Amino acid sequence: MAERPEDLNLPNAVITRIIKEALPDGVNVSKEARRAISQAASVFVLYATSCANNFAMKAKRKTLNAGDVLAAMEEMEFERFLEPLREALEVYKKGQKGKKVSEPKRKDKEKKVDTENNKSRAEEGEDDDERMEEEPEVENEAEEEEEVEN
Amino acid sequence: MSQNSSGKDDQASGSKKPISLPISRVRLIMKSSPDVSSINQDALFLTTKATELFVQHLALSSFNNGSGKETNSLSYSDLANTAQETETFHFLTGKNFKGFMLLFQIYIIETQP
Repeated sequence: MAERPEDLNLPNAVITRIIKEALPDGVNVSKEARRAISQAASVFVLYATSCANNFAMKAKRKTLNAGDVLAAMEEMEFERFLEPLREALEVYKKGQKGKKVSEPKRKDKEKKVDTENNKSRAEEGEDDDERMEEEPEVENEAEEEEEVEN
Repeated sequence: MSQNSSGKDDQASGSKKPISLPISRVRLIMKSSPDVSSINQDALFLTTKATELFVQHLALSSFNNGSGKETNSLSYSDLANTAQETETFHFLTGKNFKGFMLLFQIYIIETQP
């Protein structure tokens, strides 16, 4: 649960970088525009979560899975995202597999180490998000504290 | 300015890293949504990645749609206009019921003591 309003925001530096990479070189982006895009991104997350959750509930699952998110994108009319998302997920899963082999500190009471098995596990409604010990490497570089731009 | 010289031709996003946004922050936002109990790892990744794609899409659409092309800039009004005019961005404006509910949800979260 978000405890402070800032928790709903995404790091400004990362948002700025993503915007700059999307636009032609040298475009000046105002501070207000950057802030608006950042807030829009948070709203997007909530919207996507809400949509995806509807699909999960229809299937009587308590855990959101990849299929729910992809279905949500289609519902939200962002079909253009589907292919890049699927490709990125493939790469991500391969990367995760490699990591899991070398990391021994996995809690594996009833949970298998394989990502394939995790999919069926997830559908049983287990609390999967606690397994997110492995953040991608980008976490260390990209996560910055909120800059107070007032 | 570009940080990715060699990775551009073989990956769609043109970036070596799969994502830049912190997954933990995205998860925090997702968990603040009512009725969500748990989120699996892949869903978390996909939502984070989708958010990045969305930021790119919103920025570029607003720039192309706006008056900033002559001045080579992107302003708040470019964004506001694009959100008003483009149906897929209506959820940002509170124009339709869904959009209103989202903004209201944020208001509730942010005004909690």
